[in-house]
Amino acid sequence: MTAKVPITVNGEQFEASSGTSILELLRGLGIHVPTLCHDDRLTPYGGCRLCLVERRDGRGGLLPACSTPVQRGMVIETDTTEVIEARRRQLQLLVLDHRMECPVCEKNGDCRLQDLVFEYGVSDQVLPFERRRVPLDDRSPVIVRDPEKCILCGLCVRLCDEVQGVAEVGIVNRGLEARVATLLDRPLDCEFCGQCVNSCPVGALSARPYHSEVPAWLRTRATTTCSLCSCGCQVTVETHDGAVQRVTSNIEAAPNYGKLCAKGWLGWDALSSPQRLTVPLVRRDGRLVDATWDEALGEVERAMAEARASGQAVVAVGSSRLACEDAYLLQRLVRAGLASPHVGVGPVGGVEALVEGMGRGLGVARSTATFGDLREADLVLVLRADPTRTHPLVKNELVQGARQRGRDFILVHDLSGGLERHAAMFLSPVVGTEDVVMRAVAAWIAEHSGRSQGDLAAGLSDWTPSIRAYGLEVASRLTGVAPEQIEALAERLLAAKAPMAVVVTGLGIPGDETQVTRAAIELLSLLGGGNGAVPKVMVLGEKANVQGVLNVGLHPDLLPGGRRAGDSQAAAALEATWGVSAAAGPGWSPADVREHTAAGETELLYLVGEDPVGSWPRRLGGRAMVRGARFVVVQGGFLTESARMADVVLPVAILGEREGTVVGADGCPRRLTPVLQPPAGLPQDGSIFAELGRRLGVELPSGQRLVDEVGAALADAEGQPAVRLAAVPPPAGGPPPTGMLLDASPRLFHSGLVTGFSPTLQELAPTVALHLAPSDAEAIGVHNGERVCVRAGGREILLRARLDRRVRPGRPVAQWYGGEDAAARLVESSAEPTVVEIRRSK
Amino acid sequence: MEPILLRARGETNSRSISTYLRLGGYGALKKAFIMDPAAIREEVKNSGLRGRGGAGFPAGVKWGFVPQDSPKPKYLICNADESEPGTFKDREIIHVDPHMLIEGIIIASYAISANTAYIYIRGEFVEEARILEQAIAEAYKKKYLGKNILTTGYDLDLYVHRGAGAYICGEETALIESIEGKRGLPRLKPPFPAVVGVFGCPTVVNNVETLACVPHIIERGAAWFASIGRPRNTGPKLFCVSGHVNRPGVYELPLGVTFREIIEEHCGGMRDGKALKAFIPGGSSAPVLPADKVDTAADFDAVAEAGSMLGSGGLIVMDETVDMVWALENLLTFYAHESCGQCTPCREGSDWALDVVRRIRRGHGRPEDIETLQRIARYASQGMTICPLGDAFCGPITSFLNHFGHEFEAYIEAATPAPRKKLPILPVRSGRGTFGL
Repeated sequence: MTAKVPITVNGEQFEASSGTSILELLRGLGIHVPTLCHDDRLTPYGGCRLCLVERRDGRGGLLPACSTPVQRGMVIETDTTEVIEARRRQLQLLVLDHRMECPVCEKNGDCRLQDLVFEYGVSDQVLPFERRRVPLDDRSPVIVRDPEKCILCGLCVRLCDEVQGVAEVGIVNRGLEARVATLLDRPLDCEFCGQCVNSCPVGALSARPYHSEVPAWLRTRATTTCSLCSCGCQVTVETHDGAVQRVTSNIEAAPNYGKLCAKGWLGWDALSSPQRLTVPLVRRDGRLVDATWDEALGEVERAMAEARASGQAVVAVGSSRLACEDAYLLQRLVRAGLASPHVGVGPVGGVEALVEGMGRGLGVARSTATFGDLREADLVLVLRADPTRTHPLVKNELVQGARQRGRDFILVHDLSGGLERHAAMFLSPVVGTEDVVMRAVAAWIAEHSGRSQGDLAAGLSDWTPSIRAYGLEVASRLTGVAPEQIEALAERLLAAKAPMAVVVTGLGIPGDETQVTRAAIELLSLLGGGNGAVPKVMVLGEKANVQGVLNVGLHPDLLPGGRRAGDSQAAAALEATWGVSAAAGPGWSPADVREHTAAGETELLYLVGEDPVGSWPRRLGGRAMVRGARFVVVQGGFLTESARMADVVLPVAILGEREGTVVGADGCPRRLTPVLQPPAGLPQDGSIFAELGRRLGVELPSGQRLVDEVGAALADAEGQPAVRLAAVPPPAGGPPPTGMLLDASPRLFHSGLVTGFSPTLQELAPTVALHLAPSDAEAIGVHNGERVCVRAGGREILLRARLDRRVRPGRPVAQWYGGEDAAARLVESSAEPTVVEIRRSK
Repeated sequence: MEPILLRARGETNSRSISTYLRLGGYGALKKAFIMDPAAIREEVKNSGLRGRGGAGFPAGVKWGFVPQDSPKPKYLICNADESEPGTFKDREIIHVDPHMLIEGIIIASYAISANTAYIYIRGEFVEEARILEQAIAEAYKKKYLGKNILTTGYDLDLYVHRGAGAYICGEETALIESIEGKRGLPRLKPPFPAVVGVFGCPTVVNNVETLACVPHIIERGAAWFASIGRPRNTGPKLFCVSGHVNRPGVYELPLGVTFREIIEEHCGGMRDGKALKAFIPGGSSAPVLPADKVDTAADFDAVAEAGSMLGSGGLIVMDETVDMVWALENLLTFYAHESCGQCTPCREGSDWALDVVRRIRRGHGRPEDIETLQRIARYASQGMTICPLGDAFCGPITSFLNHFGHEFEAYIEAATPAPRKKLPILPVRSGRGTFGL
């Protein structure tokens, strides 16, 4: 509780919390104070000197509001002639050294310096001398830097350091020669998150893909939810004439508060990819040809009707990127309309962790932590992978916590990502053994600290003896983590007041996400000491709406509202709501689908936004599945490998053209607001389900009824979490894998089904590249840019070697997605590491 | 006055620890160790010792700002950056008697309960850094530094940290940043270093000369020290005299001596019998004073009253031949080069002011130029910048214009318009779109 102090502003008395800055106080009072170097997300800088206000209580004079804390009895004036004149003079100084080419500047109409110069009437260009000339730097991918427009506010430098944790740029030289530069003036080699470009108050930083010829005031701005991962960032998309002109983010909008990543900032050109499908395709004489919507839907309708009549299996696999409404309609169409329980989602990261991990361990298939918890927690355990690549917003929160708020986080994973240098501890267990580390820590704490889960239900008596198997020595042997490190981690956790865990998931991250999730729940409930507090675990699902599609029942084991399929009460309740009979039993798991379909038992396979052939691990048998089904319908934005094998391909709206609700990794539902009209009037996924329902005579809800039913399902799925312990499996594992382990977890992309078609993202993180540690490259005898052949399990892909000193030796990195040469083709199963042979290709 | 700080000047091997010990060195340290740290702080406060780096802040008071109950380690930093033009006294102390400085550092560290101390020395002082390294090694050998100093149980490690030649790193918070391995930029205050200093811990930053006074205060008492000089301006002071005098150099004199006495008696008068035109009393950032102020007493308060500051005690003497416009241009060249570039008024203002003065001297001045200079000075000084560098270049501008404005006006009256320059052609952005050629 901070003390309140009296303060006078412009003659009026106010109370201010001590410790706040004058600027915070004034902005809170709605008083406009100009700033150029201030950002609420950063520590004050005091560089631009525009926020000057006048102090009039004895110690008179002008003060910078941003960096002066309020004091008892201060008397502040904000718009005296003196203040205005001082601000004018500072602006005049800034203008001196700023290349004024407003009419042709990228930032025209959206420039804070331009606005202020206009507001304060600084029109006299006083300096007749030639200004310093610094050449434009356009050597970097995407970002163009124009130092002659730079006003040295330092925002880009500080954001890159304090928020992004990268510190790619800094200010070099002194005085007038000061400028923003990279180390040794190399081109930018960073995450291309775009924070710098979006924070630049002037036109010194711009993005090549967004060099727009449409002035700012002619663009339409709309805010929507980014659907490229499960963080749920709010992005503002500026469009004109149906084309994206620029993407930014509002600094005041939760959860990302202005932060973006390369995906959310640049991935939008997938919308206008030439590979985008705009008309339906049907197979005629073995070839896919263009068709009308009526023809294509007619074919699907016929196949569905036949399947329904014959009683043969219909299998629908939806993407966890689908909006809740669409996913709800899909599962209802299949369960009620086609009487088939076989609905599911693709095997992307997070589904298992939520359904089996959280569902069995806490009784609810959802994350129990919010982004607010992530900011509050004094210690965050980050398990399985570095979120930098998969969930950049989480990475930002961790960096900000460590850099600005004195919080700590601990990384437990075997994949390099660059976050290590901000971590309080970095444990690097043998790939896929994070659960063993967690359980060894739990065993140590149970034995040494005197803490227990208290009088938790039945499971405790099963758990307690079983956890003893995770002794320090056993765990150390299996994980390669020294016993002292496990003890140190345990002690660190015991000292934490509000610890939480983040489970990172994603295709290509080896290991068992379910066991890691359960181990995290066990450990945190032990730390909580059985005080009834729910362990805070955030499962970072891979795609935008993993949480949402599960909540509305797009899963073989879940009905809408998070109820388990096969539960007779739940089935009855469902039929009562829907008013029709429905197949409410458990459906086929992905493994079942593969088996039954390969055996020819599947009449119709309906793939919505999924590409089993191109993006599933080999063991799930995507190709055999698509080949085995009698009739295959693929719905999606692009002609994926699965679509090439389909009987009917239905194109749909993607990205910012979509509408609906998605639930982020924090459990918060957010709106997808269409910011663009889809080309050629392409429909939403849900409209296709509705149309098929209409044609088949299946009653599906629409309009307000749909909103209500989805809302009810989401609310029911919240449930009441409670820890449920059970005996843990004995520690298992063979000798650690040796040789080159392929790190196929995505960079910038996830499955790549949308982002893979963005030319800009392809430029930044080419799917044809194999990132190699220089020492590995030397051992293999391969140079930068040469073609390499990567082999595993009798299959091989051809990639170009890229020497990258950030890659750990022995852990070459390749993109999960990438057509013929995707790393996914080599990965047998997500649970196991992939050992590869690499040699130079002739 | 008997020499105090420069007592070893003229001794053979004056820098070696044996000479220092022979002259009674490290005796104060032994005395200090039987005193309570608080008593030492009180003694220094009573002596009236004011910081010799430029600001003249009472040293004992500064030490008192360190929160003694803080669980964090505390640090003492000796500021040997000495980069103010016209100042070369700290260099003299290091050259003549480095152990006096080291003894002062040990006592001061003990007084604020610091176990680590740094000497931050400017990069150009190569020889001086070597001298200090050698003296520190001697002190470690004789157990005046290191663990369990003189079996008192008190530990102190002393490091020499060399700067890279930036004026701004003489500002205490920029200096701290530099020690932390960062770019030397001044910090926003508050918090002050005494509370949040180097590595986020309580830190005291004292000038070389300030610390060199400390052993004498402890040894001979606060009352003795306060008896030298004038009330509120006590103790001996090193004056570094440069410019048009017969014997420039470092002179140790009590505070309160007049500038006339320094110039005429100690420096042997003006060179070539020329008349005094102006003098800068305290290093180049102190406002210039005209010849008629030469009877001002050289102490903190009297110089302030005369409209300048005693600063570091770097007295720059200018005779009647000096072109004051040239002199200001010279000073501004330095400040424009040394502005760190962090805040607008100093980065842009110092360079703009230099441009204007340079234009005047080249004979292309304009009537409004004087007003422009005054305006730049007004909005880059008096707390409008993060650190005092703004004041450092504005003080000269205003004082030169106040006292020697007529010289600037004369230049402007005789000026011819500047030759027209070809306007630069703006580069065309790219080949795409409307603006391609």
